[in-house]
Amino acid sequence: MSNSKKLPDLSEKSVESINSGDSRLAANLNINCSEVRRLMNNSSDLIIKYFSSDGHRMAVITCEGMIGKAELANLIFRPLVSAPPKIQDDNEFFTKVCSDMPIAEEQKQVYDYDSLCLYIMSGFAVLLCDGAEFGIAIGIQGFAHRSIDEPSTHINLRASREGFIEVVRTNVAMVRRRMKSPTLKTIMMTVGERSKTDVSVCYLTDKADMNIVNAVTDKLKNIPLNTIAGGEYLQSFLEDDDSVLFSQIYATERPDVFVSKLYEGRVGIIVDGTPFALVLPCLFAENFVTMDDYTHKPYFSAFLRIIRFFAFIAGAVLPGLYVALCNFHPEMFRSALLLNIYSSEQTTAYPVFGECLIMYILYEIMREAGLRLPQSIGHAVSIVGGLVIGEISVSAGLMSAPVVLIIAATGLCSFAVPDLYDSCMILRLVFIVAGGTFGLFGITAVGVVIFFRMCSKNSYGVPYTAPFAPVTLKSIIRDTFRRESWKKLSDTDMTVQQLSGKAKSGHDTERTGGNEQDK
Amino acid sequence: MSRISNRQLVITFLACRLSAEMMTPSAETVLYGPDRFTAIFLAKIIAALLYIPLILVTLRFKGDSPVTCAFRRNKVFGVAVGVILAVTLTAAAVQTVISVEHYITDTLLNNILTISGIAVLVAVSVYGALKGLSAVTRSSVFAAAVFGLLIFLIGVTMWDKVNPDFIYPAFIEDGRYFVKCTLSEISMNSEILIFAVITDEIRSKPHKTVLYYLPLLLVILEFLNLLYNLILGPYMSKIEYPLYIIASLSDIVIFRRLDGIDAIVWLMCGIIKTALIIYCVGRIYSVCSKKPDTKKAVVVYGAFIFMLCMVLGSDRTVYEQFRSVMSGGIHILLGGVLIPLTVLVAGRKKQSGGEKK
Repeated sequence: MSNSKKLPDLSEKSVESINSGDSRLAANLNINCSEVRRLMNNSSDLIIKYFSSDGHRMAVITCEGMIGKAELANLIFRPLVSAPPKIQDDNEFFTKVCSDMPIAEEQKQVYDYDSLCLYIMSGFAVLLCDGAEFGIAIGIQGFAHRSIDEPSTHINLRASREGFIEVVRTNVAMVRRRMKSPTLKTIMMTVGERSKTDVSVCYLTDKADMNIVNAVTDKLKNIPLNTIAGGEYLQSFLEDDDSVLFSQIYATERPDVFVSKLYEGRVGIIVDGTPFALVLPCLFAENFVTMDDYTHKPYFSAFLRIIRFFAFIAGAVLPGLYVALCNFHPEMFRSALLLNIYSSEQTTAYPVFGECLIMYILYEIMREAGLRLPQSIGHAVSIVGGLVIGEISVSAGLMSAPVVLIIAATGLCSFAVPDLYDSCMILRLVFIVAGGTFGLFGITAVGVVIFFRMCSKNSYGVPYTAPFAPVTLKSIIRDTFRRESWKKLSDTDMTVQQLSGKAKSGHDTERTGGNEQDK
Repeated sequence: MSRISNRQLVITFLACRLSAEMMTPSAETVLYGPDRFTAIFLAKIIAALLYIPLILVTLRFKGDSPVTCAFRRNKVFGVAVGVILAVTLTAAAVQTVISVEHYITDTLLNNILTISGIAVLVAVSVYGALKGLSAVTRSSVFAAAVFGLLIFLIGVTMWDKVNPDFIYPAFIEDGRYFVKCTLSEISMNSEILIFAVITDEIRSKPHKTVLYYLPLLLVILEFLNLLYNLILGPYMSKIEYPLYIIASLSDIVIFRRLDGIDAIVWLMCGIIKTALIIYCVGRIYSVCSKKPDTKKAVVVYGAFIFMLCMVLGSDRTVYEQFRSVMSGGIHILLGGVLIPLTVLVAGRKKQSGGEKK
């Protein structure tokens, strides 16, 4: 308490002074250390270790848990204590240490408090010396982090098992390991006024459109958020219109997918603290492609892709279509099916429209409950959902069996394309309402509105619905509906900019709200 | 300004034109026999001739639309041309919306209220127009895909119902019907009005759109007519929507009939056509008022179309009178032929006047 009384309230002020960049280090070690302590609000995880090297008073400032203790001992304390340069003057001594004693591969001179604090909080050890007006930031980060593991999403059968982790530099290294090309360029920048989150922008200089790269870096620089806790925070700032039902930015946990997207001329963004990297521009058709498509035989991959397209459409439209056909167009059912539906509907309390809505909402509640609960309880929820609600509601005459089947089937269908699950979920509800109100007419009207909406969008100058609309037959045949063999895919290097309808300048298009040029 | 390609516009025009063909009750104009094959062919030749003044305008004024050319020549002249084109487009839009609404009533929803049907159609079309030309033209690709699926499914399910004996060699059997059918085919070409407004927004060589569009349309219409003749034979003279009936006879195992898909295709195409027309009127407003933002104008025009459709569409006899006027093709002659000719002549006069000076 006494300490906190002595220290001014620096929570806002210190950040401002740090950000202003006008506070330079003094030549006095005590002043520097106390100033750092003051700026960091005397935080308990701040460690300042004083020591002496050949009569020169020095200090190492670190953040607890952020550095490797063995590296600290071996790279800093041992050489400085056992074999220091024989120079009397403090400033000259420290300059010699900085220039002639390569302590670590990442070693930078620091002249002001804001950089110093930022380095400390980024896991660097900062070495200060009495009499020197600068410090040495030494990259010996050793904070605990999750090891490289199989991704939890985008599971593949035969592709790589490695997934991104939460450390940006490890992720960049994973990308570099897969793309040993000098054209792979990474730009490291910090985003977030307070969090100073490391963000790496990756692209291939000979593939990516520089207009897109510039647009992305400009947007990242101007993000007004204080804290960036994950890549999703950046999405709405990078998207042209974040109210669009379908995301215009692709998120992946897989370095192999990330690299292959870069090779197609896209720009990747890796954010520290999240295992999901962002890729843009993103097209609608990309959501139906998996890495496994390229490990299977082409005919099988093509079949799977068509299944995924079908699953998405069925997942979104089937319940609405069922309601529409039952209510307005029963003549479209086959006679036997119609009789079955009719007999099952006779025993239920609600009309088909109401049944579908209730069942849909119950299904989503069960899914959400199962997702958020611990795994052991999640199983119980599945049992309750599957057996109690499904089975008992039918036998109790509350729901008809076809409706339970339809909702269950569409639930399965929507999981076939996990990237579009949220869109599919909303569309399903909209189509149920449209089908229940106006039948096929309502479904068509909603479908056309969705088409208008999708077709009006450009992802950094590339039409979101490409290569379907505007049509690029070559691309559709080559690698959209079907997956060509590697022999044919290797014939030409196609980038996302070559798709039909790409605007001349992605950045300009982005700013003018999506007015584009179709080829 | 957004720009689209010739190919994109060709697909859109095909969607618009075929929807007009499919949603117009054809009890009198689609009769069994060889006459219609010849009528379609002749109608396309005449349609090609009708496009000539417009093509000349685009060639002479480097792709500019007649409205833009007229407005550049003289503001009053430009506004007059814009108003005439807007009126003809309005007539086409009203006819489209009401025919779609009637088609829905006749096929999908017998008990739908006219007001709700028209309101939904116009609202969706206005939304499309607000989203822009690219959104509308790109959407037509999806309609074309569903149409392709429909034809494929019909082909798969109806091949055993084809009767080649229904086709017999002849040229023109009934002269009166032949003329009526030809006129009807020509009067459905309201795409010429759309083309007259959006040539500015075609990326390069707008005339190529016509070069691709008309032959493709000819092939598709002849193919569909062949399909009607082969499957329906003499019965095709007794029904209003032949393709709808063929689709309803199809059985694809999962569904007993395909008429729902048929209705969806033409409903989509009808909405796309209306959206395109509303967009065109917004574009005319933009050229004449020199205001790039047309959102308010498009919404107001949508409301106007809604009111007109309510007046004309609530009573079938009134609509039939309106349709009989439109089937004369006066709107096409006025907006698609006379206006481009006038612009051509006016441009020539200005040029000769400039030379004198």
